[in-house]
Amino acid sequence: MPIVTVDSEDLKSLIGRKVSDEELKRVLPLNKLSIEEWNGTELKIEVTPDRPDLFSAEGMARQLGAWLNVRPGLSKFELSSAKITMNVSRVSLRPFITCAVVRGVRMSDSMVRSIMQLQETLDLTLGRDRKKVAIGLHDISKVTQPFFYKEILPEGISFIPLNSNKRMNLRQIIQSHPKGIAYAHLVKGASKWPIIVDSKGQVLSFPPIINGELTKVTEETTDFFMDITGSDEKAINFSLNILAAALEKRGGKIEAVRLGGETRPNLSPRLMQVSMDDTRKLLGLEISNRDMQSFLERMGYGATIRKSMAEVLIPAYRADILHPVDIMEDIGIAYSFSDIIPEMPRLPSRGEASRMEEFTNRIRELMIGLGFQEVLNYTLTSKERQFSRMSTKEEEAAEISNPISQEYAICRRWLIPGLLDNCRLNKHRRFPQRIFEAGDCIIPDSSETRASNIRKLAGLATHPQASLSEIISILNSVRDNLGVSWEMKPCKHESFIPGRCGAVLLDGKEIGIFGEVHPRVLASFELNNPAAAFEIDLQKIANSLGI
Amino acid sequence: MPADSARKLHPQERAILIYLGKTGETQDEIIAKETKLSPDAVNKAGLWLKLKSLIDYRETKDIKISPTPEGRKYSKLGLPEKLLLKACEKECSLEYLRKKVPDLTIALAWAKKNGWIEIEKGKVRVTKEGKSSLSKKTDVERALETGSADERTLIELKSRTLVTVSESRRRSFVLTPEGKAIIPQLSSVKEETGQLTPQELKTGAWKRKAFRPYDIHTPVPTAIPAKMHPYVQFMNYTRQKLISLGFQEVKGPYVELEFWNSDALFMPQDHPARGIHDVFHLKRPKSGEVRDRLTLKRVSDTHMNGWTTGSSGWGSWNPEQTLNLILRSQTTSVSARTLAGGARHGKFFTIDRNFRPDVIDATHSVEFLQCEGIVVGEGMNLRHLLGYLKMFGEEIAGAKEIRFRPGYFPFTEPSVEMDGLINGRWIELAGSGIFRPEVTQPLGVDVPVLAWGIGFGRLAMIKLGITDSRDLFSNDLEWLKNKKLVI
Repeated sequence: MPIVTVDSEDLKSLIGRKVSDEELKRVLPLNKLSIEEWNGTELKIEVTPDRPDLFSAEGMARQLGAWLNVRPGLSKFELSSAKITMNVSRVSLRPFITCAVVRGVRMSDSMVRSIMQLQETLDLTLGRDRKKVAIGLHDISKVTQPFFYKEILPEGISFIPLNSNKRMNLRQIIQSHPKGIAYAHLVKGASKWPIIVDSKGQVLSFPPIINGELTKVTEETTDFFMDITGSDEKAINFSLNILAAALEKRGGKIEAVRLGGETRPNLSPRLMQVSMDDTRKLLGLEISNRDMQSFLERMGYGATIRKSMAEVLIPAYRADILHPVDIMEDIGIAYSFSDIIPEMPRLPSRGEASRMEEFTNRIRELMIGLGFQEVLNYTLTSKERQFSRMSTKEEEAAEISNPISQEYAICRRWLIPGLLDNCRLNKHRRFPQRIFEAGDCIIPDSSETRASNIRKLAGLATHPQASLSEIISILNSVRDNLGVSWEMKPCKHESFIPGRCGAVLLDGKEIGIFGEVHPRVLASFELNNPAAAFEIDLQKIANSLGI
Repeated sequence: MPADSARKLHPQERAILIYLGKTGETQDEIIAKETKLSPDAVNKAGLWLKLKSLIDYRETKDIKISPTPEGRKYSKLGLPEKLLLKACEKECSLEYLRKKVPDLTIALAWAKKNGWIEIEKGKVRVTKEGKSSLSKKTDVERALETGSADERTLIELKSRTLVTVSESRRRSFVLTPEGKAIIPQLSSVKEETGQLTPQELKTGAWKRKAFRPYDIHTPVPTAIPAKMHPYVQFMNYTRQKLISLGFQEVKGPYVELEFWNSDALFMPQDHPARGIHDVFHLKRPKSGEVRDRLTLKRVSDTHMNGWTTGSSGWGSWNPEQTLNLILRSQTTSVSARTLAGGARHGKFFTIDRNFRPDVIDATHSVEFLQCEGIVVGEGMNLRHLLGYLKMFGEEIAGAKEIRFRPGYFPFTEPSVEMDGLINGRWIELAGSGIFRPEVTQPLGVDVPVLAWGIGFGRLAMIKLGITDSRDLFSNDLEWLKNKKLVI
């Protein structure tokens, strides 16, 4: 989740009434803003990703101001008439663009930091790291309208990119500028790349990579031009609205931009019908229509309630409202989660354990009674441990395409390798050692997920006298206590000593293996004591028992 | 010693004391023979008596010499230097002696060293001392005969490799004044039973016997039980609680379709939490199928345009992506499957493993457990959800106090986070919410579904007293032995 750093004094001053530290501390978490750290005036807040409009002190102040009833209701944004035109031609890489101008912003350090942070956080989250949305902020006084958004050959233009002093063409930027290198994957492969220039051909921006040094925002900037490009029209418009609303909170006047016969931004609210009865049902709260009205306004909505239906005006910066339930939650938030009294419903139901889990617990008790200590290993393991160290051929296993380490690259097919590895780590502990594991292995099959969880049981004894007969006696005890009649048949298996290995057969089908572990395998796990082990398929046994 | 000290003595200790009372200082081997106790028993009982200051040890060292083959030869034939004296009465040539005396070099060396002869220009002359020595036995000869020698002789014997020497220690027991004092009390002690025998039980002989009191503080061997793994114990502890609260346990597969892990939960397909940094994608098997075509169609329509749910949807849908196989990153997939499987009323839970490509450290793991559940039923609402959360916080987590705040999950609205006060600290205990209509309706559910997840690993760490989450999967036998049961 995004962490947003704000200056707590700046935030307080933007709310519109005096707020104490204690009040801020209490109120923030009730507005989806959890405090991560608060040192001096540096306040770090974790914001839930559904509320990009809260990624800045300005947005938070707007929300808190409404919630605290300082400035409830819908924020009205007045738009000055357009003076600037953006001419758009076809850009196949990033087909959508939107723009706005904001003039007369009150400049301060906190404001510059806050807006820069907002831009970066929007790029990263809503913009999916600039893929869906990329934002450019410019000092408009340095360029001359009209502007042009078009595509161009990588060598077709050169300019000084932000925080550089060298003129470069687009390809050079991709190859040598830090931002160019970081975001090269967003343009590579296309023959023509996006560019925004002014009427004199000066470059404002090479979206989504970098702006020009020319329009750099400084402490003197009061009039801003914003360009937002991307692949998702909805997302770029929300980003623009959030940014424009934030600058407006700093005293800026929003000015329209002519773009393809229309004007941007569109800051008019959306309308949604919300049933008040449904709201009461969902929240379990008896709230009068009058209070509903007030709660909606304390979340920044405009509302007209007639009978049981509310016509809700959703502010243009709210990107998260997909369905009336989203507004219903906000009513709950305005009511305050800390004031809701929990209630246990009457919902009679019968508790029941998974039969496989209970069966496994009975097996665990049996193994413990036989003197075996339970161990618990990860499902994820390495091919080496599952196969080559066991001297067996590689078998088909569920394999990860993006492992973080070869140690955790496949799902285990059998448990004995894990037990041997446990012995390796317990080499210096006292002997005899008898351990078991009852857990899921992942076996590829033809089910919808092409692999299924199969519950297995494996036991292992290691000490100077560990032998085949010990492990057979354990298996016999498991068989007799479960009341299944399986057979044993000598077999060959690379992990066990030839002539000291057998298969367990249930109704003629192999469900397990046992034997004295081959010294070659013991050596590969660095073990100094003989070991005997068994592994059986509990799923098949459970099936045969009708579990 | 206290008055009942005589009773507290082991019968073997008593036997030794009584014997010593009769004989005085005695070697332990003899005590064993006379009391018919095994040497080992005498040794052990003697040590106990010494620790109780009833006897003392006297130790003597015995040296035993035994001749080597060379030594045996000389004791039979005589020492070479003696043979030389016999062969040469006064003076004779070396040539002559060479014929008469075996081992002449050795004979000459020792005779000369003893001052028995002088050698000059190939002639050997016997001295006075030599003459007188002929009739006397030397120390070496005596030692070879008797098997004992003084220290000086022993050195010579050893240097001539005529003998090998072995040392043995003899130990005698002697009564201390306390030991002497206790002897009169011993005769009054009744015959006592140590280990009760089946024979005594069968014959009833135990009725005539007294049971010797044992010292309960005597060190005993450590008993090592086999146990369930602590994390499994905690899983069962939590399962039992939930089952007794009316929840039914459900299960789902680790290898999962993106459809169930995310799409059915209305997470947009380009949601960052679905990417390669948050979910393990499979190389093979790579993709699966959804055989329930109806549900698949409803979910895809809901993503595209909201279907009939009243939502705007996400405006996009990739039918191939939904079939991609991954390792499930959340047990919420099990809840989606449970709803699709027909759950329309009741309470359900699962405790199982999930997988995420995290860097492994004290708080992150690639494999971790979650405990999640749903409550399905007509009329369920936010207050009810808080009711269940409160119960979990108090019953399962043992929180002293709890508080709620709004949260965010892509699949619930409203969403609630619960913190609990545990050991004086506020800890995030649970995340929850009411499933969005975009989740429930495509799965054919038209009643509210409360969904919750408990921070299971964190709770287990508190319960098990662990600070590093990797230890939840520890298999160190020493650690397992020492870990207390989950009660």
